Amino acid sequence: MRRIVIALAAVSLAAIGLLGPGRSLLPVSTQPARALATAAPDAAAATHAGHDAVSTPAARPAIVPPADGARVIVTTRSATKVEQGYVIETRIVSPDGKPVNEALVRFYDLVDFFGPREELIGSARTDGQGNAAITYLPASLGQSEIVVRFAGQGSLVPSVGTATFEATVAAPPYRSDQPGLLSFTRLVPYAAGAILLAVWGLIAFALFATARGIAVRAGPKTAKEDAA
Amino acid sequence: MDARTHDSYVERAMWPIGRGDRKFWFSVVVLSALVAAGLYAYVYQVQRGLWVTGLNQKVSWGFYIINCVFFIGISYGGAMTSAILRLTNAKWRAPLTRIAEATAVAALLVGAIYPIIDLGRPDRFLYVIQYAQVGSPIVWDLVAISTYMLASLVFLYLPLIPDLATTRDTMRPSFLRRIYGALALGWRGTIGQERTLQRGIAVMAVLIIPLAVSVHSVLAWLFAVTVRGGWHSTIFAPLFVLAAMLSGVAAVIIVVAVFRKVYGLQQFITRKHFRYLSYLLIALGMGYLYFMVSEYLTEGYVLDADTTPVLEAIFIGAYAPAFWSFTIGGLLFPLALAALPGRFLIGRVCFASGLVIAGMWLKRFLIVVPGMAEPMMPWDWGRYAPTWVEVTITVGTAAAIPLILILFFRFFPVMSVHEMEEVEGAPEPRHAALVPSYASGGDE
Repeated sequence: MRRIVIALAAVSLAAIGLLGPGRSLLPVSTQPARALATAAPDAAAATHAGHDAVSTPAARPAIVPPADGARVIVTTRSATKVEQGYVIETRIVSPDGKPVNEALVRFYDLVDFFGPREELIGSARTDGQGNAAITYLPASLGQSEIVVRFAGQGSLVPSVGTATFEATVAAPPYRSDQPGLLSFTRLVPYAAGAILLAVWGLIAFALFATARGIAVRAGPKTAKEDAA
Repeated sequence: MDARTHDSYVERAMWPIGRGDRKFWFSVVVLSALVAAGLYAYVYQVQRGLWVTGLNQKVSWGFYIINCVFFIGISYGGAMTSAILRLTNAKWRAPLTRIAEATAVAALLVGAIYPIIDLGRPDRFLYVIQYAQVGSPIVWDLVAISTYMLASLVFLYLPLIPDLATTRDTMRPSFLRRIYGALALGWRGTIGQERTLQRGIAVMAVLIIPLAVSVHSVLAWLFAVTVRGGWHSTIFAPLFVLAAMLSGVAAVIIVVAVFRKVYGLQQFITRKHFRYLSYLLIALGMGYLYFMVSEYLTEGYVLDADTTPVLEAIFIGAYAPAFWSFTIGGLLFPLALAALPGRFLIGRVCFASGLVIAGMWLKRFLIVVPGMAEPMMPWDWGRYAPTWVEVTITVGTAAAIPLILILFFRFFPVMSVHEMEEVEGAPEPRHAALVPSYASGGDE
């Protein structure tokens, strides 16, 4: 009974863990917020803030910050260490020119994955000067378009800024066939086959050796049997 | 042992062989009708396709996979009970091992056909062999189940050899007697034959344990190697193994009780056997409870995005009635019922075993269906409700197990006479020996 009580307590703990404060019972969506506004593609060049504006491909809807929103200034530069890639910096300034402190900003890379999509690459909070930065190592070389989204704060409405840079450093391609792992996985079928053969061999041995032994040793009866 | 005791063993174990009374024929007709109904439902499904079942694009595993895991689990319990009792040299095992081994084979035969039923088109089963990939859990499953089936059949056959010889010797010359003679391999009970047989049984008893563990581990990995919430668990394999042993021991208890009553074996299978089996049931049940709590505690505390919807559905959502019915009615209550001292031990243990079996089926349902129904993308849940086809096939295959057992024990002795004679007079070991005496070739 004591064990049962302890077990029940453990189940209750699990339930508390499930329902406890600060825990959501519903799955949290990790999808980035959609573009705040879209406009005709040819308007794109004029809407970029901060960095040198480069027009987006015609297929992509342009990202337009709201007219009355904070300014999101985005700049990029190479990181001190080459393997770190690039530093993407942003500065959030209110319409009246004051830096926005403690604002949450999210950084996205515009990628083509069954159409243009924003891939979340990081998030940060602005400091007292309204600055926030992340380091980013793109997955491929070539042009990268970065979108920085400011979620809004107090009376400030959400806003967005973009920047484009030419990536000359990228993350090494992921290889599923790592040499060490590959040589190991190549051995697995042989090892599995050997184990299987050994097991079948043992079963066959138990059956046939027993059958043969019984057939061969059907000699004189035991003393026990004779007595019976 | 004197000749009188030998004769009483032989008489009790072998009187039903070749005979069929009214109860027997009634049972065979009823069970055959249920099996035929299941067969009809299966033919109906093959003709029309899987759309006649409740399976759908989201919940593509339902009753069939639940039953596959459930019946193979029962088989596992039967084989393990027999193997462990043999290896620990438990004297009280003698009248039970044959029933446990036969239950294991019957349940395995039924469980192993479910992956084919689930395929919808049985001809596609050949693809598993034709296009086998070592990395595919389905191939692991095929290999593990076929190997285990082979081992279970050999494990059933070897201890049967001396009893086949006894059956042969008690029969009048006939065609059937010649078959028994061929199967008995010329057994005469010489010392050399005894040694050879005991070595063979010892090898199989040692082998059947890892084989049975591997089969149920592979079944668990079918779920655990996916990234689905509620399935992707590192303790799924031991959890499945314990669940299988628990439901298997419960099934053995019920089968033993039924054959004891019907075949009049009360003299040989006593309250003591049920008490010992109930100890096994309680120990396994507590072990299962521990594993289950451990799994839910860790998953419930972390609450990652994949697992949370499944846990919510199981604990407080749509599947909560099934989960709490299993936890209370299928685990805690039966274990308490079996553990309590007092009267009606056999009835209580059998009732508890029935609840455990029903509970373990529900638990398999709770593993398979909510895991499948969980939305992998943030939209609606899948829904699953079995149709008459799945229910009929389930009932038909479940009826096949007692039918196989009834028919089997009409041709083969229900108790191992040889083993009972062997342990007769031998002292019960003071502690369980890991290696039995026959493993080293000695006579008991």
